[in-house]
Amino acid sequence: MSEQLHRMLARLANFESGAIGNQNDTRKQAPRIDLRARAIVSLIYLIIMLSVPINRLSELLIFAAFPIITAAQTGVRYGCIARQSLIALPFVAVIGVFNIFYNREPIFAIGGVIIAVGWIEFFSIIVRAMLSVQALLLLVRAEGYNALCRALRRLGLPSVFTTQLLMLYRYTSLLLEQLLSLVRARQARSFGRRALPVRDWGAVIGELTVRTVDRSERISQAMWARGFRGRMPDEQQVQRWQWRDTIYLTAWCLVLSVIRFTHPVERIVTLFNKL
Amino acid sequence: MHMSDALISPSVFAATSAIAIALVGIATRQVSRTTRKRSIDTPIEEVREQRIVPLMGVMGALIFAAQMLNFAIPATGSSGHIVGGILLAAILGPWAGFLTLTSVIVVQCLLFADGGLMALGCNVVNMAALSCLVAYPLVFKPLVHHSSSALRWGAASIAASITALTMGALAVTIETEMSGITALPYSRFILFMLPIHLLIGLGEGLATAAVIAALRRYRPDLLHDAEYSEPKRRSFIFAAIIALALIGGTIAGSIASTDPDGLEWSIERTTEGKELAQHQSTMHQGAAETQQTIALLPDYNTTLSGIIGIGATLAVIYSLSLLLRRQ
Repeated sequence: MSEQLHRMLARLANFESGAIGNQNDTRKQAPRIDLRARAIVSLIYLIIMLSVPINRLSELLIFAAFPIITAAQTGVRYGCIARQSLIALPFVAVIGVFNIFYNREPIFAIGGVIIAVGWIEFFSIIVRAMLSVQALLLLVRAEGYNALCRALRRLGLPSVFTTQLLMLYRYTSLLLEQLLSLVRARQARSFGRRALPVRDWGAVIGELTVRTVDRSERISQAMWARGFRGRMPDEQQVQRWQWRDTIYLTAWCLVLSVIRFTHPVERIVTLFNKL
Repeated sequence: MHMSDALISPSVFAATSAIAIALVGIATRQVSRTTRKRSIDTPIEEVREQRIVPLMGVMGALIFAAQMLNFAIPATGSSGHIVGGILLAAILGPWAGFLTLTSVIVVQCLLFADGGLMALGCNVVNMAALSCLVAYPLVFKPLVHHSSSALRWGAASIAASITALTMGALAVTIETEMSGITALPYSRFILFMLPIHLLIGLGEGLATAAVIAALRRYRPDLLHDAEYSEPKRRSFIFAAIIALALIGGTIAGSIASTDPDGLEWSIERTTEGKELAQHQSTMHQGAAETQQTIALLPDYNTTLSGIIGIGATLAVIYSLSLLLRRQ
């Protein structure tokens, strides 16, 4: 268990700096898009992509272009993001399966095998889940958690809330450290007896809470002594909103709307049929 | 209990996001008002409000870590895990607890893609709002006060946690059905969700009771003590009705939907599986139609009806007792 806790602590530290899945630092030389613009585009992408009717799988697949292009642009490995987006699968696959059973109306046949509407809906649910998770992961992984919290603050979120987002994240490592110390102490005195008796669980959770609260109060006192007054200070040097951010936002909105409302796949298929 | 983006329609997203944003706005104002009271010269030990920032961070971290232990509930597209809203509200108060739980949900969404950006509003309403702003003031608070025994604090934690979890699970089924993405019938869906959340609620109640017991013993100052004055008798009964209706309804509904009731079973036995002859007179048909029109739950789903039924029965019994007492 202590190994798992060490791994979790390392993972949390990586999230803070945005080091996961990033290729070297080529992205730092390229002009960076304001994170606020990227957050707004991601939200618009999700709304437009998820409004595609569930039986139009082909139309949905074109929307995979957004995470692929964004990954290339921000220097994040798309393979890494795609692999991590698989975590959503167990949750959506189990519910998507019911569409296969309930919607058995045939839609087309491939070489004698009849494909039902339910199958199209099933894959559609899977693609929706994967693409929405990818868009979200890309938003955070490219710049790191701190930068995202600052962007949220500049988007107008109350400072009480953004401070809480940062605090929660930082105190998680504190809690894991206290848990690590409890686990280590238990291992040192248990001499091979592995499992903790169920009747002791309550005491351990209570002890962990009290220890972490005590430690956090000492840290808080130190922060107050150094001038912290309950809010994270705003950035001194902020990246201003530039023309390229406006262009980025407008361009993606246009492209996504065109894909959604002009049905390009149907048009291409009709064109081929005419030829 | 986290819902996924893939199962949400834009209209459900818009409605739940609007509710969530409004609630976060109110909570932020409430918390800011508490934190603004402090003065720089006051020693930190003397002012409880100064502790709220680290306390919100630590309690949020605790719930964040506890929610990492989750599993996929078969056939629902949702995850099963503890929520922790009652514990947060008991320590931080309902609004700060709501804000803390919302921040946990946001961090899970941003860092681990657990529950999507579109589903954020749904998740905040189902988990944070229903537990901190509904189950806590209606069930937990009326059941306990300063001098209550440890057993009573434990019972209140369990009742409130189960109430919060079952209400949240009910909200998940309603939002998913309203989105219309899944083809799973509502009655099956609710049957998958409610009983399992009843059990998770029981587990969460026990964990909440353990933490509160430890805090009452070692750090009683940390509990949101201003809130626990002597509860009114009427709010105590109201809390008991809500908790009993949700718990009893879920259990009764689950049993009822898996097995036919005694009468159905005996008819099945006597007719040996054959349907009863249809002696449908015009009067029969008329009565059936009227029943369908006036019934509150016409296509009745056993679990939901169980909850509403038990709640209504307890409410009627209580009203009758009030009437009789006045006479």
